[in-house]
Amino acid sequence: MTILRPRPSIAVWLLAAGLTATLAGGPLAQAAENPKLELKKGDRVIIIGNTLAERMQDFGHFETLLHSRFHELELVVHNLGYSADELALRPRQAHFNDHGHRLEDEKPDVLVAAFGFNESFAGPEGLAKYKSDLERFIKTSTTTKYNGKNPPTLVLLSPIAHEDMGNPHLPDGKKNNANIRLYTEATAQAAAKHGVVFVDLFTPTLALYKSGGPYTLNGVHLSDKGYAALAPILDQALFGARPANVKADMAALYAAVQEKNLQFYYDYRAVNGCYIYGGRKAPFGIVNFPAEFAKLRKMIQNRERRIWDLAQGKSVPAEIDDSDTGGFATITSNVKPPVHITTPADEERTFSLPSGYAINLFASEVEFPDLQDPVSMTWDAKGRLWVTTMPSYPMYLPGTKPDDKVLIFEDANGDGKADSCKVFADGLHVPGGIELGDGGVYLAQMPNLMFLKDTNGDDKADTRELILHGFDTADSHHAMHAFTWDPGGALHWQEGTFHYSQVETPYGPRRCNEAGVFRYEPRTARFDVFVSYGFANPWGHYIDRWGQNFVADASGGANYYGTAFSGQVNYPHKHGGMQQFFPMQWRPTCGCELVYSRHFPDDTQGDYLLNNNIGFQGVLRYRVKEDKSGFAGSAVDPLLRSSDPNFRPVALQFGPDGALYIVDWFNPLIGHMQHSLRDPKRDHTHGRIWRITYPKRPLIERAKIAGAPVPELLDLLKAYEDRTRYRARRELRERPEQEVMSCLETWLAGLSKSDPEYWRQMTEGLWLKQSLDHVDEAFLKKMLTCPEPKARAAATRVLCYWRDRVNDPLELLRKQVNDDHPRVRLEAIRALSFFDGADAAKAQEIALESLVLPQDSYLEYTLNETTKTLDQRLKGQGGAKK
Amino acid sequence: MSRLADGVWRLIVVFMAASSLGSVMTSRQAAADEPADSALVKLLKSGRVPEARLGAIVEMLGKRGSPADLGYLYERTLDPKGFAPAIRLRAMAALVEAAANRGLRPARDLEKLEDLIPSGNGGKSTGDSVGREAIRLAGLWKLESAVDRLAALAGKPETDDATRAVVLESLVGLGGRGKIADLARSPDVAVSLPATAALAALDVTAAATRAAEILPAAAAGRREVDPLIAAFLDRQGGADVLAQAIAKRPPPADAAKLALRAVYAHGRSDPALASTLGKAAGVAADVKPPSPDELVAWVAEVVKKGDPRRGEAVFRRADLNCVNCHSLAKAGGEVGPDLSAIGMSSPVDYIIRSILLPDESIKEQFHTLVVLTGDGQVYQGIVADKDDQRIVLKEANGQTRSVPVASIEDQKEGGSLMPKGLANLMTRGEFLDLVRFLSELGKPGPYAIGTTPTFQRYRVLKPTAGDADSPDVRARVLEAKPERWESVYARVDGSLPLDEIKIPRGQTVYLQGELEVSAAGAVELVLDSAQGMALWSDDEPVALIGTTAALALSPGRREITFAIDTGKRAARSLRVAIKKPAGSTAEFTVVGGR
Repeated sequence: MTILRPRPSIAVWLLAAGLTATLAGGPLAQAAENPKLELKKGDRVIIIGNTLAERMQDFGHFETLLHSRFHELELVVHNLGYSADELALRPRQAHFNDHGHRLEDEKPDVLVAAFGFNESFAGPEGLAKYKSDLERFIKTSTTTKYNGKNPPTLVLLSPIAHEDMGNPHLPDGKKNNANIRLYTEATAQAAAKHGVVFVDLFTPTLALYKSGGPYTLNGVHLSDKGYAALAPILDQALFGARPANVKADMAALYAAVQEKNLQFYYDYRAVNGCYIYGGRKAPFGIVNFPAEFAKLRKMIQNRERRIWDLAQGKSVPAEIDDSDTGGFATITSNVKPPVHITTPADEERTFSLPSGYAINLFASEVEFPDLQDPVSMTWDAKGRLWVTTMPSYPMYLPGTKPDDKVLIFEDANGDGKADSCKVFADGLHVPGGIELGDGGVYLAQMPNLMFLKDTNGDDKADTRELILHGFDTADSHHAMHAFTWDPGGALHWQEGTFHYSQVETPYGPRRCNEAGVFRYEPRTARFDVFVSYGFANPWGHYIDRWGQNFVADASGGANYYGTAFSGQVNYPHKHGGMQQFFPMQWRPTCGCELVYSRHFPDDTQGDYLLNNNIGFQGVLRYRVKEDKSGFAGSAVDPLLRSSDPNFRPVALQFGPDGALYIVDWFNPLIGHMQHSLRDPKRDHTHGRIWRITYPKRPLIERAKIAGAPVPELLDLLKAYEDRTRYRARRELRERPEQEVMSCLETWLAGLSKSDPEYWRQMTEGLWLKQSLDHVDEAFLKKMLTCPEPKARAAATRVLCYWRDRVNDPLELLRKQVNDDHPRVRLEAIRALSFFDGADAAKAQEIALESLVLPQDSYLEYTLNETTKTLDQRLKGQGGAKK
Repeated sequence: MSRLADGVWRLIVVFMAASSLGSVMTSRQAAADEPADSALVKLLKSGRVPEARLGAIVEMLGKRGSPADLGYLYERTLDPKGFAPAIRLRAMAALVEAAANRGLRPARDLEKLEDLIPSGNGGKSTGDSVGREAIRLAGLWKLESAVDRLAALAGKPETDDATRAVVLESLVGLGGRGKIADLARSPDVAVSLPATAALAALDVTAAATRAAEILPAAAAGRREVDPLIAAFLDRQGGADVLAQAIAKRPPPADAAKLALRAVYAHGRSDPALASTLGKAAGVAADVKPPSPDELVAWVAEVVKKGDPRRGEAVFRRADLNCVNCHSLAKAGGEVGPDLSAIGMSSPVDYIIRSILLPDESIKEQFHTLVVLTGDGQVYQGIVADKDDQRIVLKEANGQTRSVPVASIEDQKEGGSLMPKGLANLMTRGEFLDLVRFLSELGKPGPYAIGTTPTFQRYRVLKPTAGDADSPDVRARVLEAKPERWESVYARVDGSLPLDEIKIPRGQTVYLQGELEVSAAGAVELVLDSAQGMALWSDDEPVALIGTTAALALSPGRREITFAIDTGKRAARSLRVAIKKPAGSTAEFTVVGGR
């Protein structure tokens, strides 16, 4: 059966809907004749494009309308949308196309393509390229017989408009909308020229935003509500008024669509692609994965059948019957000797520490059975320990529901042992990293960043929202981990090699190939690559009391002074080879921390601690010295060593009591490559948290953070312990902005100039303004020229991130480039790499001025990197900013 | 269309044609209608730059400067008073970099360079670094007028090897095929051998024929054979051409064995060449990887019959090259992964497969890149660094090679640098022992990572004629040139087998271990036996009390030198543990590496 339905032109529909296109430039030019979209029974509708397309599967409102409208057609809808995709730029991990989701595999009869948003950031200058890319795309798409019989019917969707959120910290969308309009028009023209179906989503969404908003998270990405509003717009634009004969229970149908989309996502965006279809599929993956994905694909078919049944008004069983989807390959372990699981008491006996230190068990799977394969941690304002677990590691088994968790441990009586464990969230999948903030929880849910919130104070997540997309998952232990806040309110995390990540933001797409450190400002929705470097798998990032960065690469065991290679590069370039800040001893490492706790001995203050997991299992220790612009470390006695082969320290952090807490993933097998991912000897049920103290010295009195008045929180910024200030800053960001700002001014005015810590406290004030996105040029200038060089260096970093909002930032940087302290110069040279366009030549000249002053290896490195970046931009080879 | 047969080749975007640094300045000043000085040149001319900083600016000019910038650098380099000697050398290196990576030459009369090229006729030392850089530049700048002079220099017996190598490279750049072919015919192996290697880049067939002729004579040692074989491996199709030539004129078994080792040491195992050489050397055919069932049986056999102690000796064997690429307890090569704890992370079947099928599972950061240059050279290595101008490859011999991005025509991901076919050089028993040894590394027991540090890497002083005549240890040993010291590695347990050091029994063996001291303090060296031992801390003699030497070390790199009178020492090994006495403030690490 063929359904032919005349499609009213968009303009007609808009009028009918009582909306008018009221763009300053007038309504978009419409094709005189809009071609009709025909659908046939069994058609495969394949959706491709950017985040607009990708998120359509998270909120399947349009697909629900489609199935309910065409209930007899039994359509197959697969969403191949991919964060930040452009027509001519779709970076993917190696062998991604071997997994069975190329268009040749998906065989579209109808191809729905949503592009143009990321391209639009190139502005009017990029339009010619977009047009030619579009010509090529239309030609390929309308002539290639992907299904073997005929080319697909192509449907082009314009980008949606940018919504003004009325939030001073977010772009209002005017600039973006001018560009999006240009790209929408270009798309409309090309569609008209080639007789291709086109839907203008820009004009109707711009109209939609006028009332009842917000419809987006950040101006550019539709929320559930936004997709619910978009669905009828798209549905009616393509097919006209809703038919009368809809038979489906729409809520049930929507749920069925969501369930199908979830399973399809598990297939299309499977974590561990490297081991499933990529470079490491032999010898193990080829044994277990074919059956697993055959099963998953049958499950998807079962769900499609269920969708059709529901659309046709048939009743369906409550549970989906997957008994016909096949079984799994039998996997035997390649580890011959039996693994010996030690009890917590046995494990404790394997620890050795330097004299004076003690270790005790804070929590284990024995008292708290949910503590299975813990991997990351953070402390909340109430002094409770939050831990993510991943018993599903290395990845869930198709057909099962992943059930990794976020746990909250509380030591209510302060005896150094957890008294209770609450499950904050379950049903998660490999949550490699976590941080708290902004009234919720930022969590790695590869390939996305999830924000969870407890809205009623019962310590359970009530809402879960995906807020960033596009982090690659080629290797699950290379993805999204080592979360940490910087003092200026940006969240950082890391990913390893094999990964090709691309993230769409209101400021344009950001991309990173083959490993990097990310930086995200939730308040402004700015997301950037902080370090683009050819790491193996960085897992560890500590930002010291002056805002200087230390980055640990786990796999190779290298450790870097991070500031020097955190300047901007032009994608896809990476920073050049970087020296390590001390000679590495062992590998692989996982997690680093500086000792700033008065509970620990005086001579250890400032030591760099580093977990190590194979061969040497314990915590390595390095003495760190200021060394000109950077730092140099040297090995001293390790803090902890275990002879238990199961001991796997993967995270460490000083707690509110000044003791050091260590997350012990506890697993006899840790190699990804050395055993089958399904090796039955991988452990999924154990996990421990250890606590190291120095009993001769008193513990730190726990700082009152939760519920403390703002002035008290500000006073905590004077605390000696890095982690106390860290947690106080995080709390301050959650307090009412007005109140914090006014208390801050009083607090700054009251600081004692004779306090040796005065300039560090002032720096804390600057950082707080930065984290509240409160640009204060006068205060910044004061800090840029203050007597304390470390404060000037920190202020120079702030200047870098405020460069678009202060007057003549380049002249300010010229002063910093000529500073007598090398670290200030380093920060300035780094900051100059962020200038582009007309400023690039001047930035280049200013950077070179630094050559008159003394050099060291980091200054030379950073100058070389900045010069390279600017040089490429000056030659028009800059491409995208990282 | 890819010029290389297999694999997925990625097109390379070639950046960098001319420097914007220069051009930007030029455009700004074009209005004034005067020759432009770039910011960097202005800085150099200004006299504001202290001597100590000149080097950094000079290097930046090499990386980013325009032909006009390079012209200024060139003139100042030619001027004997232009730069201090060390800066002059860096300036020449910068000119080399600009020419090699960006194809840029100074906008000046280049023939004046010839004044810096050594004639080889007494006067200038041929080993002069400035001279060598000038020779390099002559090749890169295609100074035709220098060809005769270079060829003459290469043919002179008194020209040192390093200079000859540079001359030949420049002659290749100048396309001096006839001259190089003449040199390859020299009766002097010191000339014919590197010339034959150089000829491979211009006429691989003629070079292969000549290589087969001189291989038997060249096979005096690896140092000679390795570069000759490498020249063919680095040439597109070169391995096959060499295999054909060798098949026509098979070398004696010993020479074939050395050549085969050279192939493996280059991280290669091209089938035709490996099998031709293998046949001539009488080495067994390829060991077939086991089927899954066989693998289970092999694993059982490793556990039952493999002896880790014997396996360690196999690992240390020179012909297998293991220690040249892999370190144990931080001592040894740094091309492949450190294996100190490999037994803790890798089961036996995985280790077996990794030796037989090195390409199957490659640790991140050990993947290789294979590049094909426009000149038909093929280089393979781990990417140590890369930017828009050059890719730096770490090759199997541990050395790096910088390949200009602009010269790269094609590139693809390569396999492992670990050669296939190593098992062919072992008996089955040896293979089982080796696997057993590896599988024990890092596990609790004798092969665990030690708790007390020991010297793992020593340097041994190579004896030279006249040593016996000089009683002055200070001059003879402590101040010996770095190239006279050669690395030797202790076993995992810290003991150094003295019999592996090829010094006749009865003579004195000099060894050096190093400590990197970060905080001053007391350190004790505890020897397994004091018999026949004398030692020095840097250049101060240290007394042994019992088996212990007490040292007070200051921060920095400290050299501990041991003299072993092999005639007086009964123990056939040496083990030195380094301990911190109670209360010591010393913090140190033992220096390892290659």
